[in-house]
Amino acid sequence: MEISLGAETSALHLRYSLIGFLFQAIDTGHNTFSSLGKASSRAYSSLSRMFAPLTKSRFWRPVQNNFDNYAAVGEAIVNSWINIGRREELASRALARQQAYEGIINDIIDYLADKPEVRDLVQQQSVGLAEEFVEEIRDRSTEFDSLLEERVNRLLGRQKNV
Amino acid sequence: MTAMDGVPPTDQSDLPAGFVSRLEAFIIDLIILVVGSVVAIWLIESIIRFFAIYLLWPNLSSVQFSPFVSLLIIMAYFMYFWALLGYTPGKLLLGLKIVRRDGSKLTLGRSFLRFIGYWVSAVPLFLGFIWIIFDRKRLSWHDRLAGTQVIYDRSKRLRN
Repeated sequence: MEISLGAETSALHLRYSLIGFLFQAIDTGHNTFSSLGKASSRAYSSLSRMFAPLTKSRFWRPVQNNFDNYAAVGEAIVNSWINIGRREELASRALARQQAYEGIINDIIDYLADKPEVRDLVQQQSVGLAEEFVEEIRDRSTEFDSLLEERVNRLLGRQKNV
Repeated sequence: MTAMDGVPPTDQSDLPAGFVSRLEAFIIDLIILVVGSVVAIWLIESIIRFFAIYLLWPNLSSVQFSPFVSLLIIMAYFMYFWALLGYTPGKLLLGLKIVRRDGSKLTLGRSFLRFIGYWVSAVPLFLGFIWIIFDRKRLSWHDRLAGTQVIYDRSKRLRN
């Protein structure tokens, strides 16, 4: 399937081809390594059968021990690489996720800021809320004024002040 | 249910303002003044350091001039707002206004008299302020001295 979106420059073509190559290289590499793995496994089993009289002999044992030691060291190194890779991948994913979130949030803010209706609505809501708050304080204070004087008047046995 | 639920909301436009509203307005003004004084003193001290004025007067420090600066700021704040606008920021927030008894605006001289009246009200344990609760016209001592009154200014109100 070929996708075409407007005029594309040769630089863009080069970029797309590199991206495409990378994607294909992953699949190709996976298939190649899989085939190589199978072939080497078959070769190893054939060779080990062939050299079994030698490798199972007493003379071969020191060589086998050395090989086992090297293999253990190699396995430890590979394991440490796996751990580093696992850790780094998690960190990279977290970083990528964070950047994606930030990008989305920034996009949303930009979008809202560009819309005059939304901007006006937010502004109106904020002003309205502040006005409501101030009015509430004023009303409550006025009521407290009257209440306090009522109490004092009752205490002094007087009529209402104002 | 609150203690005020029994009190019906009434339109008290241009009626004398009560003690609680005036106290709240005064506290707001005090907060503004404290912040303003601190900033002003810091600014003056910075100017003294910047121009090395302390070389001319080595004993000059903020301890010496801060009371005068504070008093000057307080006086200017109240007199300016009373005479020019008829309300301080605190009173504006509470929807209050200071007018003469005939409803006209305060002059600068009357503002000064009212400011002097503040001290008269404050010296006997703030009795002059507390007097608002007991006075039938909700007048404080400084109101009586300057011939002024504080009223609810409904034109400043946002909600009808």
